[in-house]
Amino acid sequence: MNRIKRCQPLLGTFVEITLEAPKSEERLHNDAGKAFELIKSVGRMMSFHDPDSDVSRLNRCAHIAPLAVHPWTWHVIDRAIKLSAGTEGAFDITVAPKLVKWGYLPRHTPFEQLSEAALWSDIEMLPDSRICFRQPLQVDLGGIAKGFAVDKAIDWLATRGITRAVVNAGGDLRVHGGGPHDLAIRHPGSPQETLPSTMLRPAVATSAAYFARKRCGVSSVNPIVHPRTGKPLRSNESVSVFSPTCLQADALTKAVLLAPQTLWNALLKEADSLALFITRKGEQVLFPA
Amino acid sequence: MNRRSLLRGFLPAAIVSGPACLYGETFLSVEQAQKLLFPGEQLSSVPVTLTGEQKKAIQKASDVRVRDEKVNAWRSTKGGWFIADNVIGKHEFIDFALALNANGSVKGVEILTYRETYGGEVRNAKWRAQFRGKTTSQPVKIDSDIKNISGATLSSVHITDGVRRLLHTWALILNKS
Repeated sequence: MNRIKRCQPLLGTFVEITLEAPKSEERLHNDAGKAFELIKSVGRMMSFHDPDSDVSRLNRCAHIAPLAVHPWTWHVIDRAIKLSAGTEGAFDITVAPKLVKWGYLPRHTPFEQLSEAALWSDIEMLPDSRICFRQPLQVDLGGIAKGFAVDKAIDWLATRGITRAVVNAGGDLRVHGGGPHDLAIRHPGSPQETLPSTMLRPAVATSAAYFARKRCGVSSVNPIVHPRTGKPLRSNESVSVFSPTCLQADALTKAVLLAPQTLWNALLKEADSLALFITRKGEQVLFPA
Repeated sequence: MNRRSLLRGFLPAAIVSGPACLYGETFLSVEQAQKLLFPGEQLSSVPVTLTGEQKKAIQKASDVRVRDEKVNAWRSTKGGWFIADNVIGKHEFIDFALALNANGSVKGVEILTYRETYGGEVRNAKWRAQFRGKTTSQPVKIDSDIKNISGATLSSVHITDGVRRLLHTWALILNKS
Protein backbone atom coordinates (compact mmCIF):
# COMPACT_ATOMS: atom_id res chain seq x y z
CA MET A 1 0.00 0.00 0.00
CA ASN A 2 1.42 3.36 -1.03
CA ARG A 3 0.41 6.77 0.19
CA ILE A 4 0.99 10.19 -1.35
CA LYS A 5 -0.02 13.69 -0.40
CA ARG A 6 0.11 16.66 -2.74
CA CYS A 7 -0.86 20.30 -2.44
CA GLN A 8 -1.46 22.94 -5.11
CA PRO A 9 -2.64 26.54 -4.86
CA LEU A 10 -6.03 26.41 -6.62
CA LEU A 11 -9.43 28.13 -6.24
CA GLY A 12 -7.73 30.88 -4.26
CA THR A 13 -6.74 28.47 -1.50
CA PHE A 14 -4.58 25.41 -0.88
CA VAL A 15 -5.98 22.16 -2.25
CA GLU A 16 -4.57 18.99 -0.70
CA ILE A 17 -5.06 15.52 -2.12
CA THR A 18 -4.16 12.42 -0.13
CA LEU A 19 -4.32 9.03 -1.83
CA GLU A 20 -3.74 5.54 -0.52
CA ALA A 21 -3.87 2.49 -2.78
CA PRO A 22 -1.99 -0.66 -3.73
CA LYS A 23 -0.50 1.12 -6.75
CA SER A 24 2.93 2.51 -7.53
CA GLU A 25 3.60 6.05 -6.27
CA GLU A 26 4.03 7.15 -9.84
CA ARG A 27 0.50 6.07 -10.77
CA LEU A 28 -0.90 7.67 -7.63
CA HIS A 29 0.81 10.94 -8.58
CA ASN A 30 -0.78 10.61 -12.02
CA ASP A 31 -4.24 10.19 -10.48
CA ALA A 32 -3.68 13.15 -8.17
CA GLY A 33 -2.49 15.22 -11.13
CA LYS A 34 -5.72 14.47 -13.05
CA ALA A 35 -7.82 15.31 -9.99
CA PHE A 36 -6.01 18.66 -9.71
CA GLU A 37 -6.77 19.26 -13.40
CA LEU A 38 -10.49 18.72 -12.76
CA ILE A 39 -10.42 21.19 -9.86
CA LYS A 40 -8.54 23.66 -12.01
CA SER A 41 -11.17 23.43 -14.75
CA VAL A 42 -13.95 24.10 -12.21
CA GLY A 43 -11.94 27.14 -11.15
CA ARG A 44 -11.61 28.33 -14.73
CA MET A 45 -15.39 28.12 -15.22
CA MET A 46 -16.55 29.57 -11.94
CA SER A 47 -13.90 32.07 -10.87
CA PHE A 48 -15.07 35.63 -10.29
CA HIS A 49 -11.45 36.80 -10.67
CA ASP A 50 -10.87 35.33 -14.12
CA PRO A 51 -12.43 37.65 -16.76
CA ASP A 52 -12.86 34.71 -19.16
CA SER A 53 -14.80 32.41 -16.81
CA ASP A 54 -18.47 31.51 -17.28
CA VAL A 55 -19.26 33.54 -14.18
CA SER A 56 -17.55 36.67 -15.54
CA ARG A 57 -19.27 36.27 -18.91
CA LEU A 58 -22.64 35.99 -17.17
CA ASN A 59 -21.90 39.03 -15.03
CA ARG A 60 -21.00 41.03 -18.11
CA CYS A 61 -23.91 40.25 -20.37
CA ALA A 62 -26.52 37.77 -19.08
CA HIS A 63 -28.89 40.68 -18.39
CA ILE A 64 -28.80 41.59 -22.09
CA ALA A 65 -29.48 38.18 -23.60
CA PRO A 66 -29.57 34.53 -22.42
CA LEU A 67 -26.09 33.04 -22.33
CA ALA A 68 -25.05 29.40 -22.71
CA VAL A 69 -22.60 28.17 -20.08
CA HIS A 70 -20.92 24.87 -19.28
CA PRO A 71 -23.41 22.32 -17.80
CA TRP A 72 -21.35 22.26 -14.56
CA THR A 73 -21.74 26.01 -14.10
CA TRP A 74 -25.45 25.72 -14.85
CA HIS A 75 -25.78 22.92 -12.30
CA VAL A 76 -23.98 24.84 -9.53
CA ILE A 77 -26.04 28.02 -10.10
CA ASP A 78 -29.21 25.92 -10.18
CA ARG A 79 -28.31 24.34 -6.83
CA ALA A 80 -27.47 27.75 -5.39
CA ILE A 81 -30.86 29.16 -6.42
CA LYS A 82 -32.70 26.17 -4.96
CA LEU A 83 -30.89 26.76 -1.68
CA SER A 84 -31.77 30.45 -1.84
CA ALA A 85 -35.43 29.46 -2.16
CA GLY A 86 -35.07 27.05 0.78
CA THR A 87 -33.49 29.69 3.00
CA GLU A 88 -35.82 32.51 1.91
CA GLY A 89 -32.84 34.33 0.45
CA ALA A 90 -30.37 33.99 3.33
CA PHE A 91 -28.04 32.14 0.97
CA ASP A 92 -27.66 34.32 -2.11
CA ILE A 93 -24.98 34.24 -4.80
CA THR A 94 -25.85 37.80 -5.90
CA VAL A 95 -24.14 39.52 -2.94
CA ALA A 96 -21.03 39.97 -5.12
CA PRO A 97 -21.33 43.79 -5.49
CA LYS A 98 -20.98 44.15 -1.72
CA LEU A 99 -17.86 41.95 -1.71
CA VAL A 100 -16.43 43.99 -4.58
CA LYS A 101 -17.03 47.17 -2.59
CA TRP A 102 -15.25 45.72 0.44
CA GLY A 103 -12.30 44.63 -1.68
CA TYR A 104 -12.77 40.84 -1.42
CA LEU A 105 -13.45 40.51 -5.12
CA PRO A 106 -11.84 42.36 -8.03
CA ARG A 107 -13.76 45.10 -9.79
CA HIS A 108 -14.44 44.41 -13.46
CA THR A 109 -17.15 47.02 -14.04
CA PRO A 110 -17.65 50.63 -12.88
CA PHE A 111 -19.33 51.00 -9.49
CA GLU A 112 -22.46 52.64 -10.84
CA GLN A 113 -23.24 49.58 -12.95
CA LEU A 114 -23.40 47.28 -9.92
CA SER A 115 -26.98 46.73 -8.93
CA GLU A 116 -27.20 45.97 -5.23
CA ALA A 117 -30.96 45.68 -5.38
CA ALA A 118 -30.90 42.49 -7.46
CA LEU A 119 -31.75 39.16 -5.86
CA TRP A 120 -31.28 35.47 -6.54
CA SER A 121 -34.85 35.42 -7.92
CA ASP A 122 -33.70 37.64 -10.80
CA ILE A 123 -31.71 34.72 -12.19
CA GLU A 124 -33.62 32.71 -14.75
CA MET A 125 -32.51 29.15 -15.47
CA LEU A 126 -33.29 28.24 -19.09
CA PRO A 127 -33.04 24.88 -20.87
CA ASP A 128 -29.90 23.90 -22.83
CA SER A 129 -27.73 25.21 -19.97
CA ARG A 130 -28.58 28.81 -20.74
CA ILE A 131 -28.94 31.48 -18.08
CA CYS A 132 -30.53 34.91 -18.17
CA PHE A 133 -30.57 37.75 -15.59
CA ARG A 134 -33.75 39.85 -15.28
CA GLN A 135 -31.68 42.88 -14.27
CA PRO A 136 -27.97 43.69 -14.25
CA LEU A 137 -26.50 41.75 -11.36
CA GLN A 138 -23.31 39.94 -10.44
CA VAL A 139 -23.04 36.41 -9.14
CA ASP A 140 -20.16 34.97 -7.16
CA LEU A 141 -19.97 31.21 -6.62
CA GLY A 142 -17.31 31.48 -3.90
CA GLY A 143 -19.71 30.00 -1.36
CA ILE A 144 -20.49 26.82 -3.26
CA ALA A 145 -18.05 26.11 -6.12
CA LYS A 146 -15.21 24.83 -3.92
CA GLY A 147 -17.50 22.09 -2.63
CA PHE A 148 -18.50 21.21 -6.18
CA ALA A 149 -14.86 21.01 -7.27
CA VAL A 150 -14.05 18.66 -4.38
CA ASP A 151 -17.01 16.45 -5.35
CA LYS A 152 -15.83 16.29 -8.96
CA ALA A 153 -12.33 15.25 -7.87
CA ILE A 154 -13.60 12.61 -5.44
CA ASP A 155 -16.12 11.21 -7.96
CA TRP A 156 -13.31 10.74 -10.45
CA LEU A 157 -10.86 9.29 -7.90
CA ALA A 158 -13.54 6.81 -6.82
CA THR A 159 -13.36 5.24 -10.28
CA ARG A 160 -9.58 4.73 -10.03
CA GLY A 161 -9.44 1.82 -7.57
CA ILE A 162 -8.20 3.98 -4.72
CA THR A 163 -8.51 2.60 -1.20
CA ARG A 164 -8.58 5.92 0.60
CA ALA A 165 -8.78 9.41 -0.81
CA VAL A 166 -9.12 12.79 0.83
CA VAL A 167 -9.55 16.03 -1.11
CA ASN A 168 -9.30 19.13 1.05
CA ALA A 169 -9.87 22.52 -0.61
CA GLY A 170 -8.84 24.90 2.15
CA GLY A 171 -11.11 23.35 4.76
CA ASP A 172 -13.89 22.04 2.51
CA LEU A 173 -13.11 18.37 2.32
CA ARG A 174 -14.52 15.03 1.31
CA VAL A 175 -13.24 11.52 1.91
CA HIS A 176 -13.66 8.36 -0.09
CA GLY A 177 -13.20 4.80 1.12
CA GLY A 178 -11.89 3.19 4.30
CA GLY A 179 -12.87 4.94 7.51
CA PRO A 180 -13.13 6.05 10.21
CA HIS A 181 -11.54 9.32 9.21
CA ASP A 182 -10.23 11.66 11.85
CA LEU A 183 -10.83 15.33 11.47
CA ALA A 184 -9.41 18.43 13.11
CA ILE A 185 -11.52 21.59 13.19
CA ARG A 186 -9.91 24.97 13.78
CA HIS A 187 -10.71 26.63 17.09
CA PRO A 188 -12.60 29.85 16.20
CA GLY A 189 -11.12 31.59 19.25
CA SER A 190 -7.52 30.80 18.27
CA PRO A 191 -7.43 29.31 14.76
CA GLN A 192 -3.89 27.94 15.13
CA GLU A 193 -5.29 25.33 17.49
CA THR A 194 -7.56 22.55 16.40
CA LEU A 195 -10.26 20.52 18.08
CA PRO A 196 -10.48 16.79 17.38
CA SER A 197 -13.59 15.50 15.66
CA THR A 198 -14.62 12.71 13.31
CA MET A 199 -16.18 12.66 9.89
CA LEU A 200 -19.87 12.18 10.64
CA ARG A 201 -20.60 12.19 6.89
CA PRO A 202 -18.25 11.82 3.89
CA ALA A 203 -17.96 15.59 3.44
CA VAL A 204 -17.46 18.55 5.74
CA ALA A 205 -17.08 22.31 5.29
CA THR A 206 -16.50 25.03 7.84
CA SER A 207 -17.40 28.69 7.68
CA ALA A 208 -16.26 31.41 10.02
CA ALA A 209 -14.92 34.91 9.77
CA TYR A 210 -11.58 34.55 11.58
CA PHE A 211 -9.20 34.46 8.60
CA ALA A 212 -10.84 37.01 6.34
CA ARG A 213 -11.88 39.79 8.68
CA LYS A 214 -10.54 43.21 7.73
CA ARG A 215 -11.27 46.89 8.03
CA CYS A 216 -13.12 48.85 5.38
CA GLY A 217 -13.30 52.52 6.33
CA VAL A 218 -14.29 52.65 9.98
CA SER A 219 -16.09 49.31 10.14
CA SER A 220 -14.85 45.75 10.41
CA VAL A 221 -16.06 43.56 7.54
CA ASN A 222 -15.77 39.93 6.46
CA PRO A 223 -16.94 38.09 3.35
CA ILE A 224 -19.91 36.37 5.02
CA VAL A 225 -22.62 38.92 4.33
CA HIS A 226 -26.34 38.78 5.01
CA PRO A 227 -28.09 39.36 1.66
CA ARG A 228 -31.15 41.02 3.23
CA THR A 229 -29.40 43.50 5.52
CA GLY A 230 -26.11 43.80 3.63
CA LYS A 231 -24.28 43.55 6.94
CA PRO A 232 -21.28 41.31 7.56
CA LEU A 233 -21.57 38.41 9.99
CA ARG A 234 -20.97 39.62 13.54
CA SER A 235 -20.63 36.30 15.33
CA ASN A 236 -17.28 34.79 16.24
CA GLU A 237 -18.39 31.20 16.14
CA SER A 238 -17.68 28.70 13.42
CA VAL A 239 -20.09 26.29 11.79
CA SER A 240 -19.08 22.96 10.30
CA VAL A 241 -21.63 21.08 8.24
CA PHE A 242 -21.28 17.35 7.61
CA SER A 243 -23.06 16.20 4.44
CA PRO A 244 -23.03 13.36 1.91
CA THR A 245 -21.51 15.71 -0.68
CA CYS A 246 -19.12 18.63 -0.34
CA LEU A 247 -21.32 20.98 -2.41
CA GLN A 248 -24.11 20.55 0.15
CA ALA A 249 -21.71 20.97 3.07
CA ASP A 250 -20.08 24.10 1.58
CA ALA A 251 -23.38 25.84 0.79
CA LEU A 252 -25.19 24.77 3.96
CA THR A 253 -22.55 26.34 6.24
CA LYS A 254 -23.57 29.77 4.95
CA ALA A 255 -27.28 28.91 5.20
CA VAL A 256 -26.82 27.81 8.82
CA LEU A 257 -24.85 30.96 9.68
CA LEU A 258 -27.35 33.35 8.09
CA ALA A 259 -30.84 31.79 7.94
CA PRO A 260 -33.33 31.40 10.79
CA GLN A 261 -32.98 28.11 12.63
CA THR A 262 -36.38 26.69 11.66
CA LEU A 263 -35.40 26.96 8.01
CA TRP A 264 -31.96 25.40 8.24
CA ASN A 265 -33.18 22.64 10.52
CA ALA A 266 -35.47 21.49 7.74
CA LEU A 267 -32.68 21.86 5.16
CA LEU A 268 -30.25 19.77 7.22
CA LYS A 269 -32.85 17.06 7.58
CA GLU A 270 -33.60 17.09 3.87
CA ALA A 271 -29.90 16.84 2.96
CA ASP A 272 -29.12 14.18 5.63
CA SER A 273 -26.65 16.63 7.16
CA LEU A 274 -25.43 17.69 10.59
CA ALA A 275 -24.26 21.10 11.74
CA LEU A 276 -21.59 21.51 14.42
CA PHE A 277 -21.35 24.93 16.06
CA ILE A 278 -18.12 25.81 17.83
CA THR A 279 -18.14 28.91 20.01
CA ARG A 280 -15.24 31.21 20.63
CA LYS A 281 -14.52 29.36 23.84
CA GLY A 282 -14.44 26.00 22.08
CA GLU A 283 -17.83 24.69 23.22
CA GLN A 284 -19.40 22.39 20.65
CA VAL A 285 -23.09 22.00 19.86
CA LEU A 286 -24.39 19.56 17.28
CA PHE A 287 -27.66 20.02 15.33
CA PRO A 288 -29.91 18.11 15.06
CA ALA A 289 -28.95 16.90 18.53
CA MET B 1 -9.97 42.19 19.01
CA ASN B 2 -9.34 43.22 22.63
CA ARG B 3 -6.13 42.72 24.53
CA ARG B 4 -7.31 39.75 26.51
CA SER B 5 -8.32 37.77 23.45
CA LEU B 6 -5.00 38.65 21.86
CA LEU B 7 -3.19 37.26 24.86
CA ARG B 8 -5.34 34.17 24.85
CA GLY B 9 -4.39 33.59 21.24
CA PHE B 10 -0.70 34.18 21.54
CA LEU B 11 0.18 32.71 24.92
CA PRO B 12 -0.57 29.08 24.10
CA ALA B 13 1.18 29.55 20.78
CA ALA B 14 4.31 30.84 22.47
CA ILE B 15 4.32 28.03 25.01
CA VAL B 16 3.64 25.15 22.67
CA SER B 17 5.67 26.25 19.71
CA GLY B 18 9.02 27.43 21.04
CA PRO B 19 11.29 27.45 18.02
CA ALA B 20 9.14 25.06 16.00
CA CYS B 21 5.83 25.81 14.35
CA LEU B 22 2.45 24.47 15.21
CA TYR B 23 1.51 22.83 12.00
CA GLY B 24 3.67 21.92 9.08
CA GLU B 25 3.82 19.39 6.37
CA THR B 26 6.18 18.41 3.60
CA PHE B 27 4.44 17.28 0.45
CA LEU B 28 7.28 16.90 -2.01
CA SER B 29 11.04 17.24 -2.06
CA VAL B 30 12.62 19.41 -4.74
CA GLU B 31 13.72 16.27 -6.64
CA GLN B 32 10.22 14.76 -6.51
CA ALA B 33 8.68 18.00 -7.75
CA GLN B 34 11.19 18.15 -10.60
CA LYS B 35 10.31 14.62 -11.68
CA LEU B 36 6.58 15.38 -11.54
CA LEU B 37 6.74 18.69 -13.37
CA PHE B 38 9.31 17.64 -15.98
CA PRO B 39 8.77 13.90 -16.46
CA GLY B 40 11.63 12.27 -18.37
CA GLU B 41 13.56 15.49 -18.79
CA GLN B 42 17.03 16.32 -17.54
CA LEU B 43 17.36 19.44 -15.41
CA SER B 44 20.59 21.31 -14.85
CA SER B 45 21.03 23.75 -12.01
CA VAL B 46 21.41 27.41 -13.02
CA PRO B 47 21.88 29.32 -9.78
CA VAL B 48 21.35 33.06 -10.21
CA THR B 49 22.24 35.88 -7.84
CA LEU B 50 20.33 39.07 -8.49
CA THR B 51 22.08 42.41 -8.38
CA GLY B 52 20.52 45.31 -6.53
CA GLU B 53 19.37 46.82 -9.78
CA GLN B 54 17.79 43.59 -10.97
CA LYS B 55 15.96 43.24 -7.64
CA LYS B 56 14.57 46.72 -8.03
CA ALA B 57 13.51 46.06 -11.61
CA ILE B 58 11.66 42.88 -10.62
CA GLN B 59 10.07 44.65 -7.67
CA LYS B 60 8.88 47.45 -9.93
CA ALA B 61 7.52 45.13 -12.63
CA SER B 62 5.77 42.68 -10.30
CA ASP B 63 4.80 45.01 -7.45
CA VAL B 64 6.05 42.33 -5.02
CA ARG B 65 8.99 42.75 -2.67
CA VAL B 66 12.06 40.66 -3.54
CA ARG B 67 13.43 39.32 -0.24
CA ASP B 68 16.10 36.99 -1.51
CA GLU B 69 18.73 37.76 -4.14
CA LYS B 70 19.34 34.05 -4.76
CA VAL B 71 17.15 32.35 -7.38
CA ASN B 72 17.20 28.55 -7.19
CA ALA B 73 16.60 27.82 -10.84
CA TRP B 74 17.01 24.76 -13.03
CA ARG B 75 16.81 24.56 -16.80
CA SER B 76 15.32 21.60 -18.63
CA THR B 77 16.72 20.14 -21.82
CA LYS B 78 13.69 21.46 -23.73
CA GLY B 79 14.17 25.02 -22.48
CA GLY B 80 11.68 24.98 -19.59
CA TRP B 81 12.50 26.36 -16.17
CA PHE B 82 12.04 25.02 -12.66
CA ILE B 83 12.31 27.46 -9.74
CA ALA B 84 12.20 26.55 -6.05
CA ASP B 85 11.17 29.50 -3.92
CA ASN B 86 9.34 30.45 -0.74
CA VAL B 87 6.77 33.00 0.37
CA ILE B 88 5.86 34.51 3.70
CA GLY B 89 2.15 34.94 4.22
CA LYS B 90 0.12 36.42 7.04
CA HIS B 91 0.90 33.46 9.26
CA GLU B 92 2.41 30.87 6.99
CA PHE B 93 5.82 30.17 5.50
CA ILE B 94 5.63 28.13 2.33
CA ASP B 95 8.18 26.50 0.04
CA PHE B 96 6.86 26.05 -3.47
CA ALA B 97 8.07 25.09 -6.91
CA LEU B 98 7.15 26.79 -10.15
CA ALA B 99 7.61 25.14 -13.54
CA LEU B 100 7.67 27.28 -16.67
CA ASN B 101 7.43 26.26 -20.29
CA ALA B 102 10.10 27.49 -22.68
CA ASN B 103 7.80 30.39 -23.69
CA GLY B 104 7.45 31.53 -20.09
CA SER B 105 3.89 30.26 -19.49
CA VAL B 106 3.16 28.47 -16.21
CA LYS B 107 3.42 24.69 -16.51
CA GLY B 108 2.59 23.96 -12.89
CA VAL B 109 2.86 25.02 -9.28
CA GLU B 110 3.42 22.56 -6.43
CA ILE B 111 3.54 23.30 -2.72
CA LEU B 112 6.66 21.64 -1.29
CA THR B 113 6.40 22.48 2.41
CA TYR B 114 3.68 24.30 4.26
CA ARG B 115 4.20 25.68 7.76
CA GLU B 116 1.67 27.59 9.73
CA THR B 117 2.27 29.60 12.83
CA TYR B 118 0.96 32.59 14.73
CA GLY B 119 2.55 35.29 16.76
CA GLY B 120 5.07 36.61 14.30
CA GLU B 121 7.56 33.75 13.99
CA VAL B 122 6.98 33.75 10.26
CA ARG B 123 8.56 37.20 9.93
CA ASN B 124 11.55 36.22 12.05
CA ALA B 125 14.56 35.44 9.85
CA LYS B 126 16.16 33.18 12.48
CA TRP B 127 13.02 31.12 12.79
CA ARG B 128 12.90 30.63 9.03
CA ALA B 129 16.60 29.83 8.82
CA GLN B 130 16.10 26.58 10.72
CA PHE B 131 14.18 25.21 7.75
CA ARG B 132 16.71 26.23 5.10
CA GLY B 133 17.71 23.32 2.91
CA LYS B 134 15.52 20.93 4.85
CA THR B 135 13.09 20.23 2.05
CA THR B 136 15.75 18.45 0.07
CA SER B 137 17.49 16.23 2.58
CA GLN B 138 15.48 15.89 5.78
CA PRO B 139 11.84 16.86 5.47
CA VAL B 140 10.50 18.72 8.47
CA LYS B 141 7.47 16.95 9.82
CA ILE B 142 5.64 18.46 12.71
CA ASP B 143 2.24 17.47 13.87
CA SER B 144 1.91 15.22 10.86
CA ASP B 145 -0.64 13.03 12.63
CA ILE B 146 -3.24 15.70 11.97
CA LYS B 147 -4.36 14.86 8.48
CA ASN B 148 -7.56 16.66 7.67
CA ILE B 149 -8.10 20.17 8.91
CA SER B 150 -11.38 21.92 8.35
CA GLY B 151 -11.73 25.62 9.03
CA ALA B 152 -12.41 28.95 7.44
CA THR B 153 -10.76 29.14 4.03
CA LEU B 154 -7.13 30.25 4.02
CA SER B 155 -6.24 32.49 1.12
CA SER B 156 -3.37 31.51 -1.19
CA VAL B 157 -2.89 35.06 -2.43
CA HIS B 158 0.77 35.11 -1.30
CA ILE B 159 1.54 32.23 -3.61
CA THR B 160 -0.07 34.13 -6.47
CA ASP B 161 2.17 37.11 -5.63
CA GLY B 162 5.22 34.83 -5.44
CA VAL B 163 4.43 33.33 -8.83
CA ARG B 164 4.02 36.79 -10.34
CA ARG B 165 7.40 37.82 -8.92
CA LEU B 166 9.04 34.72 -10.45
CA LEU B 167 7.36 35.28 -13.81
CA HIS B 168 8.93 38.74 -13.92
CA THR B 169 12.24 37.26 -12.75
CA TRP B 170 12.05 34.91 -15.73
CA ALA B 171 11.13 37.66 -18.18
CA LEU B 172 13.79 40.09 -16.98
CA ILE B 173 16.69 37.77 -16.13
CA LEU B 174 16.39 34.02 -16.75
CA ASN B 175 15.03 34.38 -20.28
CA LYS B 176 18.03 36.54 -21.19
CA SER B 177 20.70 34.31 -19.64
